[in-house]
Amino acid sequence: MENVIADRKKAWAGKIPKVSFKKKKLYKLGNYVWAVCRFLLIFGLGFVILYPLLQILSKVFMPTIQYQDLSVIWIPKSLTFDNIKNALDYLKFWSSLANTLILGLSCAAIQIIVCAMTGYGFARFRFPLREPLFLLVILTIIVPTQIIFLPSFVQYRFFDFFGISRILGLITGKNYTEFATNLIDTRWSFWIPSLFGVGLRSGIFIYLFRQCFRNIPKELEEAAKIDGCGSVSTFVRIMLPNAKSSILTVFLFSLVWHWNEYTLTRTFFPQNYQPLAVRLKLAVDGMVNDIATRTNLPFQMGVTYASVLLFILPVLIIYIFTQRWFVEGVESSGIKG
Amino acid sequence: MAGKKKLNKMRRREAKIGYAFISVWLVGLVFLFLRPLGMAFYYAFQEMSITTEGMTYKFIGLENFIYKFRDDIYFFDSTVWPGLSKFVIEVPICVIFSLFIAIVLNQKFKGRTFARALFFLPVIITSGIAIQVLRSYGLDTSMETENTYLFASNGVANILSSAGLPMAVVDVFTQISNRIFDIVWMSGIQIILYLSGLQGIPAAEYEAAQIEGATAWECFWKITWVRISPITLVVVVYSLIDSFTNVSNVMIKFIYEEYSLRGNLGGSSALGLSYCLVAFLIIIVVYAVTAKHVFYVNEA
Repeated sequence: MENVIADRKKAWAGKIPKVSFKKKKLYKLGNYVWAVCRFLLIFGLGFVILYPLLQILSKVFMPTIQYQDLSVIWIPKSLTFDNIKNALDYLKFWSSLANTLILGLSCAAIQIIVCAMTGYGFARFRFPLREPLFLLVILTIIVPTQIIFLPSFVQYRFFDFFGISRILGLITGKNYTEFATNLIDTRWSFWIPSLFGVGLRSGIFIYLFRQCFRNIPKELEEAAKIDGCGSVSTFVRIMLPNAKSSILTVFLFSLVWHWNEYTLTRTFFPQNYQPLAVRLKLAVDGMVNDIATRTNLPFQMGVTYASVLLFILPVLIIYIFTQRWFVEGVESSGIKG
Repeated sequence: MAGKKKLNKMRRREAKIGYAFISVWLVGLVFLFLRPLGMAFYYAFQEMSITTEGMTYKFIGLENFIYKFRDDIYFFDSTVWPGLSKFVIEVPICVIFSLFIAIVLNQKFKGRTFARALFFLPVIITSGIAIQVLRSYGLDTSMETENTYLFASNGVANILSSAGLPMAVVDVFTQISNRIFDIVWMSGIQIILYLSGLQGIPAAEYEAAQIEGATAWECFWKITWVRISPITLVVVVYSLIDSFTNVSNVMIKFIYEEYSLRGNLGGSSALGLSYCLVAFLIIIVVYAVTAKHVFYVNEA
């Protein structure tokens, strides 16, 4: 490509008409107009994005009595922390924050290991049925959780260790449920699918890792092989260090998606280990159904705004420090269709 | 002959190692994904009830698939059709919007890092649970619901219709401008995908085109649009999946509530599966149509 440009430049040398002063000025003017338009566009859309956040920030520190005060729109007349305090109570904030963090961090770590392994298998080895199997990876992304969370619930309620309990049941003649374990209300209901590569959006991560490993030059592996590295040590020592940015991206996305997951967490944690997303909804529903607060709409709104703020604040902080990795990771994984 | 045997042996070894790497996932796929999916199929043909001794099943044939259509004649119009046709408006707008924003964010200007951080913000609040809770309380007044828009623009509609445009055209415009909030909040991932794609286009191509005297408009259609087409395919498929499976989709909501509020496990499974199948077929058709126009550099 560079050669082509050089040739073209040579061919055009001396033939390029001198751009007149007037034209240059017009060009510059056009640039300015575009810069202004761009600013307006980004400012306007930025406002649309930030609007809910601004609204929350405005309402959270406002005493609820001012919600119906028509003379107060954005800036409260006085500040209060009552809403935050109530929300901390309703959410049982610290325990649910710990639950969310433990669940998200552990699942993210497990998913990185398993999905990287699977992605590497799909990227570098030829084996029969590779393409159909990879289609199944895509299928796991497409099928919505709402379809299989029910059977999954039944499965984890009477977890039969991949059929072992059923065999034991057949041998002893008892109902298999006697050998089954209840995984509902334990974190194993999330750890086990993560461990077997079918956790929350694992398919996307496998896809990401496959693309990433495909882009790493084959020579690296061949060199390692010549130096006597086995497949496993090549993977651990050569491939993984080269996939650092993808690992970070998967880690962040996994953490954020676990943070936001509601359908599955609601189903698998009816009582214990409830993360923030579940408590948020429970808190709001609780207020609506509670006789003491049912008619007190400003109170409900205050607590809701504060709860949502508490819910998104931790991810927001994580995001502010890591946002460039969201882009760079996707870039380096080089999704090429 | 000996060489061929050796090659075969190597192939088999490679296949073995490959299977070893994906074996963990394969076990998970069969037991934790395909099995629940199969169970959902089974549920779809049963009338289920939860008793003290566990589940009881009764085979009722296709009843679960048709009961809703028979009992509620408006069901198709009110739930199935909006759920399935949402993508017709959403996906094209989403693709155009995210490509446009990605191109803007790819230019050099002051505050670019901040602008990027802003537009990716929706990515981290994807679940919609926060947005859903906020909506149920109304962001502005307590009266907002799903069907009223945050940024309704009646002014636009008035101006357009008084300018003499036919109502159908005005409708399209207001549909888009009313949904600006949803569109912006839907497009986070798509913008990231496009941005990464744009940065993969060699700058030399634009330079060459400029020297040849191409305008920015021509550059876009002859270079950017062609080069970015593989990403467009990914974006289209992602937007489709998102449109079909998002919690805000009326059909998904119905499937979830049919189980969680009304306890109808069989009906929920049956409608869920048939909905999923139709969605899958639509995705395949759209994929096939789009894939025809995709240009791959390596294969050219």
